Amino acid sequence: MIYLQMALYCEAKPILQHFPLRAFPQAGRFQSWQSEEITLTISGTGQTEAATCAARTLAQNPPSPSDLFVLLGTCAAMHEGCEKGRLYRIHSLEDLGSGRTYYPDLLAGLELPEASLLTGYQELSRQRKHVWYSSAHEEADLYDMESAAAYAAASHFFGPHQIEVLRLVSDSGEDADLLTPDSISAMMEHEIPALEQIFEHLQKFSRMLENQSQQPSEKEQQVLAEMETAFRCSASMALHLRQLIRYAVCAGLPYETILERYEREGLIPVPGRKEGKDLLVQFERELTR
Amino acid sequence: MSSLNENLLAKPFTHIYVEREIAEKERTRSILRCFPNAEVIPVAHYKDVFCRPRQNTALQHMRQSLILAKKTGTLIYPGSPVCQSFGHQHFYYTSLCMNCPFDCQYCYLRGMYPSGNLVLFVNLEDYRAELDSLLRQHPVYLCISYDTELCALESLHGYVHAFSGMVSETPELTVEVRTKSSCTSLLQSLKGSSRMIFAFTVSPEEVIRYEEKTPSLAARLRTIRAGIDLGHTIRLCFDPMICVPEWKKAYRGLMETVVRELGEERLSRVFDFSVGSFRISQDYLRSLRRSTESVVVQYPFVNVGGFYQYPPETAEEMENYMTELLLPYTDRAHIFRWREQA
Repeated sequence: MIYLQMALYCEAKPILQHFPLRAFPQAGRFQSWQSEEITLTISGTGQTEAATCAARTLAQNPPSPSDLFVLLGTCAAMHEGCEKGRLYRIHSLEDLGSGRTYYPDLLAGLELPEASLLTGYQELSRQRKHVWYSSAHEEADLYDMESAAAYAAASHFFGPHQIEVLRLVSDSGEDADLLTPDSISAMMEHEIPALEQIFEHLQKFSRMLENQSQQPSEKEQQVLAEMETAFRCSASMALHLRQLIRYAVCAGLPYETILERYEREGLIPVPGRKEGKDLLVQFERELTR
Repeated sequence: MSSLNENLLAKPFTHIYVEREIAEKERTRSILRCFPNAEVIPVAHYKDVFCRPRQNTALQHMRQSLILAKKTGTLIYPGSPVCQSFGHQHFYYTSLCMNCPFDCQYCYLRGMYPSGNLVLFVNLEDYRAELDSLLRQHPVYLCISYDTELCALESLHGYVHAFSGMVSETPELTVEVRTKSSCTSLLQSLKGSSRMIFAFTVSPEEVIRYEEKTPSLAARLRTIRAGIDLGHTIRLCFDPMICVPEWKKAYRGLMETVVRELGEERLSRVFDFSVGSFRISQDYLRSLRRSTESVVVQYPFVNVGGFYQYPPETAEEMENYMTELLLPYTDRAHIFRWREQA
């Protein structure tokens, strides 16, 4: 699942028109849409809204280790090197208020230009840009009012490899008054082919994370639960048994055949814990010889 | 991980994080010149990137980023009890780099660090100052490539050359460089010294399959042969021995290959040998097991004094077996076993 968070409806409108997402009425104060693979939520403008929205969405639907969180939206350019109408992948996000910087891991191979981002509480103006740019924030390429806060909130649920921040340059701060909801939608619509490819790639990346998961299979868990009883395991014996079965699974050893034999020969269930301990030693010997 | 998966990932070293404090150092600039297309990201402190919570170290190892930093605090540490001191009283190690370009499934680094990214410390002069201070007190035996693989990265940092220079200037200093790399050209560019020891890990191919991105046994042996011929001091490390299925056959085959490729005369010129079965701190193993399903790591080890290892009788049998394989070519005094020091 990709949790996609955007600040404004006009930013999300082309995505809602293009991707088969359906309104999700249980989302409460935040407007939300869902498909099998994407959940899109509109946070509203500002850091508080962005962090609250991320925290609420993710607390309500706790993500799995293979889910991803994508912050998508518009931003202002801090200097002329960042082109208006261009989509950037953010490699570092600085919170203007706290000075704290966040670094997404950028493990998925997305072909996008990269930039650093400054997130503040106020809209960017010529004067503020001048002040911030000349006071230890000269490395910032882009400016927005949501990302660092949403990133910080999402970090409580995701690792840095699961968070992507994508920002489309809509203005330079000084000309933000010229922006209208329609012009923002038009800019985002222009990026739909690129976004389609990005989401497709991220979905594959998510599936790769799923395959990488170390969680024992249901079958393995079921065998373990049965054997803990059959061996009359104490807590430490249960941990040992769990490790033996994990090892057997990873090594491709026929541990079930051994356990079935124990059952056939009447060795399990054991009459007492001492017999359980002895049988565990025998089980280990058979697996590691 | 399949190549299909690798295609989903960004390429290695496309991102280089640089601490602002050392951004203008000549060594930093020289390293950055090796990666003209990399995105250079300034950071306040390397731990801002290296120590983030919930990192996916397994994926990071597949696609490493480089972090250039300044090491502060203690730079040279007394040797760990799980490491062999080779009889040296003043046994130290230093960490010029954190993490390794190779990706051995059993490596303790995977359990020790919160990140799979590579940190390279560029303030060699500070290490030198601390080393000089120790050398004023007593001779020093210093391992410089424990938490990394310096030889494979020499073209970036030049530290092996730098330490080779220090060894030739300082009679009280002995340096060990542990490696799995096929660094023949590096050895060709250095003058051999009895106090600059290149310690090569040799493993059977049955184990090398768990040592991802490392050179083959044949490539390692070619480098070892060249090193002996060039007059370098070479140590062969049969350590860590891994309990793979039919391990006796695997290690017997390894020894036959070593003898065949090096020849008995070269073997007699090997400085010494180290033999040790796999062992790892309990904290590192816990973390390592969470990151991989490798059978080598999931083995049901036993905990002896906070270190996980093979059951004592298995470890003893493995190390005795390897020692016996070595004895026709050297004497017992030249075979060092970690177990004997424990």
